[in-house]
Amino acid sequence: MRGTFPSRSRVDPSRRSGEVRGRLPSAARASTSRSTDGRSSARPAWRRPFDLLRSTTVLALTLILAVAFDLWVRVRILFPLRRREERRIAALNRAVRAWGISTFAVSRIGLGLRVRVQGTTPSSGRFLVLANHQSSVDIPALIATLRGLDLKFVAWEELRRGKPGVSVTLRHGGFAFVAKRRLGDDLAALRGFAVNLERHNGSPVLFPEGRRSDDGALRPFALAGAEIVRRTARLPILPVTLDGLHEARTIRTLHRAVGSRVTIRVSEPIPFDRTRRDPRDAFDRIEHEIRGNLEEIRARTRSPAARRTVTRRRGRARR
Amino acid sequence: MRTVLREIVLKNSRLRLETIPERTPVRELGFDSFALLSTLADLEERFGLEFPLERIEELGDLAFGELVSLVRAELHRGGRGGSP
Repeated sequence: MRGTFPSRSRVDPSRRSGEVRGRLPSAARASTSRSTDGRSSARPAWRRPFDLLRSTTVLALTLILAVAFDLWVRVRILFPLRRREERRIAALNRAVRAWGISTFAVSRIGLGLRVRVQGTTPSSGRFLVLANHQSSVDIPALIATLRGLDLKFVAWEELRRGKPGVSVTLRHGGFAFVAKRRLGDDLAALRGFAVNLERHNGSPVLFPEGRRSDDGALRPFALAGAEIVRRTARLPILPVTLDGLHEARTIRTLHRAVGSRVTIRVSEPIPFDRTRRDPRDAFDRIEHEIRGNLEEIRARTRSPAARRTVTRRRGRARR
Repeated sequence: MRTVLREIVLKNSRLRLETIPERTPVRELGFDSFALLSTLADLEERFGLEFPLERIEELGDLAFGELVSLVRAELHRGGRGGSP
């Protein structure tokens, strides 16, 4: 199922993933982040107003979906099923899946994303999903890709209230909140989250980089959170590599993602028993695998072979 | 007990230590948050001690000698943990 993307990018080969780490000065960031995969710099300037219009439309639709979802969850799930826990959990899981799939569909169509899923996505079961984190679109992208699983994310404490659609689901759907103030408190919260996962049929998703990457390069993994969830939930680990959306790190830069090639590579799951003996080594291997995947995906995207494939396809289309 | 604790510290440290200094905080002996977490789990497994996870950072500030005293005190108290 693996293949190459149609490539329109012209890229400086020195800017491969993993070569740039840490935070760059803002001026340098502004100039380099756009050329990480070359897409934005290759896009003509006259298209930018149209890109902005597209991304604004996507944001508006996403907000409408979120408000509708919020109402749906409160009126059709939480209130009528308040005394039927099992049914409420199942309904919430279905609703989250529907939100993720529809939100990602809006982004995909609205922004003209070309999405390629590589590897085998599990159709059922429970896993500890470890993924790299590039953009705010990663969450619906993961829900839409791993739609056989009931994914449970770890959210910032600030999201507990005030975000339509998001806050109510996070509070009632078996998700975790961390404040990132004291390590011990966050680890205790994650342990509580892992204990409750089975009740919610949940597959926890952790972004071990801790936050979104600044420039698409993989940040070093912080593993204590992943370890407490692994140890408590005792689930097989499913590594996932996401690439192509780092230009849309936040919703303010969503317009830069227009026309991006997005790759979601789902690796083979690692059984719990294989991570038991030396968890640090297991996590190091996963970090190495995701880093390697990112480099491979980007190299393929830029390779002359990929460009030749595109040229051939375009030629056939013209004929 | 001291030997077991020594094993635990050597196993979880990211440095290749020959000896463990008595007065250096374990955080300075190559203990990151992952190592502290593993140490807590090992203490629970080997001695049946349960330290509250909320206080994990305080564990990193303890020197090896203090860790030994703490474990000894907890074992003497009957082992529910509580104050690293």
